[in-house]
Amino acid sequence: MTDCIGAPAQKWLDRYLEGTLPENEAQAFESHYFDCPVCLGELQAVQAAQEQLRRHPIAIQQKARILSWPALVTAGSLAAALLIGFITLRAVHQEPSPVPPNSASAPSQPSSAPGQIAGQPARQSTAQPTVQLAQLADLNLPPFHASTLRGESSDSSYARGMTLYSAGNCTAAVKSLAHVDANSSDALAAQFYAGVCRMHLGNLDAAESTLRHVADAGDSPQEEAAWYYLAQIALSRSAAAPARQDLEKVVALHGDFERAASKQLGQIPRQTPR
Amino acid sequence: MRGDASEHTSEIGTASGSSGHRETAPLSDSARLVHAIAQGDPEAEREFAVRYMPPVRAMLTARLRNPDLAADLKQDVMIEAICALRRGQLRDPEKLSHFVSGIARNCLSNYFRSNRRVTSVELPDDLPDLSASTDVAEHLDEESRALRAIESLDRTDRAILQMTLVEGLKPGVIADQLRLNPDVVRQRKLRATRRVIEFIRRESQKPFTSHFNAGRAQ
Repeated sequence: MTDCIGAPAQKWLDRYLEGTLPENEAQAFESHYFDCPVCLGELQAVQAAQEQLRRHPIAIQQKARILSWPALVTAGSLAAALLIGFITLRAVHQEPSPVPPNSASAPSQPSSAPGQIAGQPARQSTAQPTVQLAQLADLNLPPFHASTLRGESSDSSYARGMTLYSAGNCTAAVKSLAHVDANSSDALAAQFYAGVCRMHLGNLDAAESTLRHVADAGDSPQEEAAWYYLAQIALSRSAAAPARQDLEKVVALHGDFERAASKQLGQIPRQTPR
Repeated sequence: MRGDASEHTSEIGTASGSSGHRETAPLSDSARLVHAIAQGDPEAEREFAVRYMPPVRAMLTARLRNPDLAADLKQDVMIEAICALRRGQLRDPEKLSHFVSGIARNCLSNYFRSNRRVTSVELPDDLPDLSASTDVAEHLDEESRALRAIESLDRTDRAILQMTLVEGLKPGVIADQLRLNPDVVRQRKLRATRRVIEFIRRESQKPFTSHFNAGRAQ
């Protein structure tokens, strides 16, 4: 049996399939997966998906883009020419029949009450609803689905920690997750779940520090969730600005937490009531 | 597997060591396989094929980006490897995997040089049935799992994977076309890939180790 937990595949797989991995690294990866069922399995899974994507392509709609300058200039010229033509024609047609004095067009500007400035009443007359930021905070543990997905090769401390986590035993889970090897492929996930456990246990400072490390690590399956729970910690401290900042990062990642983050962003007042 | 092999002492291909000790030491899987094939054991050849066809095919598919051609070339690689092992050309049985991947690379080089399949060995009559090593039902199951895996993805994630894995586009180009931030594309691509892997692993109801061990002696 191999002790590999798939780290080489995580490191090399993408670039290997793209064909951008340098030849010596590609050969090293090949030498590895010829003897490693875990990494070979991951490669085969992505190749199988690649084949199905090839056979069952979806139509990709490119998002509408703003017109490029030459197209914009052409369209603008065309519109201007049409407008001039229309005005000229209208003037020619209107010349023989004089316009009745009272047939002027209706006022286009809505009349405002004296002293009333459009757009302001709603803001000024209605008091900003006082939102208790701490009440918005979602400090519940996120579900963990991967416990049954992993094969025998998973880090045993991680597997044990996540079993405890799934059972809701946060204290024991944190202890077990602390033993996950920092070089293992589960290291970031372990930190993330340890972080949310600490958050759940009310140890917000430690939770923030752990989750910040996961979020700052960048590209990882836990990045978005880490920003989301950092925002929850900020909310629980009634700190609107950092909460908003973290939630905006969540929204920008367009992932699973996007909707929840957008909803919370809408609920956080621009200025925190003091 | 090399991890297994290193735990044992091989009797084959080593010139040094105490002969009395070597008689009792067990053979590694690779050494036993190499030895048996050299002795003309057809069961060992079948076992060799089951063990090495999946990585050879994965390698050829990755390098050629053409699964059908990879399947054809895979047969050539296996035939060349078996013929070489029959002739006892592998001196160090612990390097069996290197030996097979080397043959695969040679076949690829020959193909790229001439743009056609080139076999350097005569096709023997008594080869094991290499096609029988692949279970058709299992292959269909794998395809079905892979399809369900990509269907389980969010449409944008699927589009990103399609543009990456099929169209070979870079995240920057994909980001431009989908009006997303390139970092978001990278993040979603990474996440979608992991989801596909986890989905297939879960649906196959076995860790990725079992199919590989099927061809190994216990």
